[in-house]
Amino acid sequence: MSYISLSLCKIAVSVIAALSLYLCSVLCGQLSLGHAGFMALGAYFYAFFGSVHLHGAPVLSALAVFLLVYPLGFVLLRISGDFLAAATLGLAELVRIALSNFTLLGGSGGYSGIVRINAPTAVLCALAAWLFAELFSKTKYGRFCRAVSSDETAAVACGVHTLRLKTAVFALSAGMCALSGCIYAGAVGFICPNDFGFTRCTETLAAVMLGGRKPAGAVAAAIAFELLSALLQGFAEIKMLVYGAVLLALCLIKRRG
Amino acid sequence: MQELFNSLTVGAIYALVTVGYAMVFSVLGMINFAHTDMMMLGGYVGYLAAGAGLPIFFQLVSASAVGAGMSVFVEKAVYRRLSGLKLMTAGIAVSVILEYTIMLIFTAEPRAYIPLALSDTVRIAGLKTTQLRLFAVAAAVLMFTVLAFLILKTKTGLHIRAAAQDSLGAKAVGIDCGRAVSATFAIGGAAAAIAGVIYGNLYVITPLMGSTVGIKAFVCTVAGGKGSLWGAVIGALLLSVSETAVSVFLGSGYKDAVSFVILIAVLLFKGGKG
Repeated sequence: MSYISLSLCKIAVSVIAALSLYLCSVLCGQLSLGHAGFMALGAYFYAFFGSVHLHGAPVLSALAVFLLVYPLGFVLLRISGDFLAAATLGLAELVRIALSNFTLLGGSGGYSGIVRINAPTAVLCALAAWLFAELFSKTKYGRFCRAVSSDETAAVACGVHTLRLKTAVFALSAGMCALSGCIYAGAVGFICPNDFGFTRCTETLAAVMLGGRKPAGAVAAAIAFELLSALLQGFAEIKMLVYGAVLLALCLIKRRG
Repeated sequence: MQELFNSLTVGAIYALVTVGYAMVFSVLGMINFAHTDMMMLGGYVGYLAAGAGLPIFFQLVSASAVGAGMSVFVEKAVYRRLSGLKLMTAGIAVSVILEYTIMLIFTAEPRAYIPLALSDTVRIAGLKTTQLRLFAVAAAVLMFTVLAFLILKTKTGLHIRAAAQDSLGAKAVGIDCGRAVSATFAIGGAAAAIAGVIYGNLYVITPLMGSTVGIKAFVCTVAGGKGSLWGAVIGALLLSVSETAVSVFLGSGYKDAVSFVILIAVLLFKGGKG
């Protein structure tokens, strides 16, 4: 795979991951630190489906993660605020530990020889995800989400079934994140559980915070961060410092909302 | 039995980190992701001090000074201005900045302290241990006694506990809550840095060593009853013993899973209200 198409794929991965976190954490106001775990699940499902020559492996993996997370969401989303963030972080770490010990898919050593994805497919997936996020935020469910995010009690009073809504959005967002994991696996060809650690989570969170209230903002921020990381190739520490600084600056500047 | 005995050392380290964490959590209701980076920072200050040939006492003093200073600085410069999810996100940001600054300076390579002259094996009631481990436990117990004295017997400690219980009420009776919060961060940062030095003397230190301990300290805090000094100790000991049990019976790969399972279970049962 050429450098350009690899970069395009990586941009698609960041864009889709940012959009998925946008749906859950910005639109619906449920901060998740567990999306790296869903990305890992997606990537491993893709690797597995690819190895048994199933068609449409990315879509199948996204669907599998969606179906897996949906029932889980009903339990998990009873928790709110900081505690939800902590619980989802715990979930992501559990996924990472389980995959590290799961020797059938390579364990902590990783899994290689994954069916590759070409750049046009990756970009197409990213555009589809963007379209979905734009359309979703314009529907009445998008409005419900904004209501939950600004005042959950008031949303309940207006007749929104918040738990059902939050669960559905959480599962949708997990499925979308799984799709980004598939593209990552298909672009790089090799995955290991540590690819999907807390670092990945920080990167996506920084992009989403920078992106603001609109899906297009999340897309733009994700692309900007990916270009930055291409620029800082080989200076991983400096890249993370920039992410940290951006995150901190955003927290201090945008104190509300 | 031998493993159980070893887990006490780890429990002592967890307990020292958890105290500060639990205090901040009960005063501000904040999950402070940067707290365990004070432990990491302490570990590196101790490493520098050990490299300069200073004895462990000076390692502990210099580390706790840096830990307390950085902790208070971050509180005054960042945390004081924020609340809610922004506060927690800022904690993540501070944690990332600290970790990668240290990584830039010291590289990601694990560092080991220059060994102290305490590596002889000692036998107590048929159990093997090194002088160093015994010393570590003793140091942790001593630090804990000092902490307990500070929190339970001094006026500042009283203010901290009052602010933790009801900050509005504390303000109403004329307690300077801002100062109490700063004191909390200072004590917590110092304790974590000391834990870092003890950890560094026993194992190796890396810039990212705080991140797994961080979630563990949070588990000890929530599981041990938030903000209680003894709850933190009991939570820390229970966690280290159950981690040991899991790594003996299921294999060490699953060791870190224990804390996350406990974390999710506790949060679910408490309905996320802490």
